[in-house]
Amino acid sequence: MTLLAQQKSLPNRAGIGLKFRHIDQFLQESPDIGFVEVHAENYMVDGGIRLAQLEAVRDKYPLSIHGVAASLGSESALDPEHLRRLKRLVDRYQPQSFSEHLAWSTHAGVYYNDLLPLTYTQKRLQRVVEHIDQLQSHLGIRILLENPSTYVSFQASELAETDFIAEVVKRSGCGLLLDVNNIYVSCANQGWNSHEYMCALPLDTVGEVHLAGYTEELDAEGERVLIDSHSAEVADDVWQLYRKLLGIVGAQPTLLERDGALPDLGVLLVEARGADVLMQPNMQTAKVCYAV
Amino acid sequence: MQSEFATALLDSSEGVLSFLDEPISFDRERRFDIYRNNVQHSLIEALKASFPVIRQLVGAEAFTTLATLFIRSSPPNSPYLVEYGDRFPNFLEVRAELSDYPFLAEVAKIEFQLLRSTHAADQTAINDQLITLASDPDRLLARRLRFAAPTALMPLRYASATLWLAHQQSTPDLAGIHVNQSEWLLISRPSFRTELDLLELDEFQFISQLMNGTTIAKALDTVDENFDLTSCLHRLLIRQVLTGIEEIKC
Repeated sequence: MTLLAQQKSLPNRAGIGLKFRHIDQFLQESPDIGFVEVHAENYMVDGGIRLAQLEAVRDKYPLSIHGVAASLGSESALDPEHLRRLKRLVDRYQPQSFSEHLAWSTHAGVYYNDLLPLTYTQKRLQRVVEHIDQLQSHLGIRILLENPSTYVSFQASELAETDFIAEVVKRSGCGLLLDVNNIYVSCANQGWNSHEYMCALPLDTVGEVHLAGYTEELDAEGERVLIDSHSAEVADDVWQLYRKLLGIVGAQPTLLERDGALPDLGVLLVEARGADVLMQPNMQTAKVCYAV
Repeated sequence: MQSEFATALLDSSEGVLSFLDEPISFDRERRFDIYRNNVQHSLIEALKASFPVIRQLVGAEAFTTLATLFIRSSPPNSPYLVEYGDRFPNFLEVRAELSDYPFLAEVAKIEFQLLRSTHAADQTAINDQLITLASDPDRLLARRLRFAAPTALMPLRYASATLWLAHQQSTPDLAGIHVNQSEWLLISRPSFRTELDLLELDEFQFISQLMNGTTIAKALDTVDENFDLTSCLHRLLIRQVLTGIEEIKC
């Protein structure tokens, strides 16, 4: 493991994902918000308005850069061009946090623009750890790894998802970006207990939390599948699970994600306030995890 | 395993389903379809964002059909989706069902170039320097000019730029547009907004020579004596496209 620079951290407050549609209004009104998160790939351009706007945002707010395309779960090697672009972005904007996903999105030179699921094998585990090592030493910072939302599982998997994640975090020294909606969605889709799942993760390494809304589809028998669509309000059940998490790990930098059916900026800010309120009683808390 | 999974995302799911556990709800195929839909939908959205006027011209439904076919034949090779779609104009050009609308490929080229220009590197224009040089025309003639990264010239077989411009209005007024009229387009990005200028042929040829690295004197040789140099330099200044002046060492 490489020795990594001591990283600045995000405040224990709620933040929002900043969308292009809101950015002018956001800069004009400068709302009181803990931090802002952007997708790395949207800013991997040579120049123009996007970079200028991000510069302006960075001057006023703590920044989290969230990558969606490093493809850490790929069988093949990480793309050197992508590493170069990530480094340029991180060096230029000096974010308080950089995070990526436990997923793959590129195969044989084709980019699929989705977070695709892994088989949880020892071989894949080793590969993911190598990729995170490579990314962390390239960027010179410790990254946070986000737990996935999944719709399928593989017969070839040898490890439980939570054991796989825990081992990746332990071996690579990265932190955890705990996406509470992903936990809820995956557990509903796979028939797992979400509280047990959450407690099986290395919660002491959590550096940021994500909250988002899911959408629900029903099959002919009325059985449901949940889609991690980011196109709805955070569901009550997800808020409940988030409160349990806060009770265990205390207040955390918490991002409200919204990508589809984008409401006005004000609606997102109110939702973020909701997370701030729930964090208040947990500012000092850090308890052990009790199984249900 | 990733290879089969990846292939099935854009094509048939034969073969991949046997790798999956039986899910607690829905069946394996419908679970896999969620990934397939995510991929298709998100890439269609990316093309929609990049080619809004093409979508207006062909209609939303036809655009989705075309985008779906395009994604299958030319999926993105990188995650930088503002760079995705460089082959879309060519794809439109060779579709038999679009042969009555040959201007579509050109409009798509304009839209893709606008995207490139929007995200091209920032450079400082050298307007003051150029004004100084313009006061000594003989010195200026021996110079070569450097152009800002967002600058592009496009010779158009059809009135595609006029069509594009008409579609910036909420209700495009297409009356009076002669589609078969050739056009000469300059795209630039003064400040952060892209601008489209329709040029006369001589001005287009002159700027084209300059962009190829010809001196002003030699570029002037390619246009006739009625060419309005001052007006052209004025345009280049206003559009902030000049970033350097190079003296030719003899």
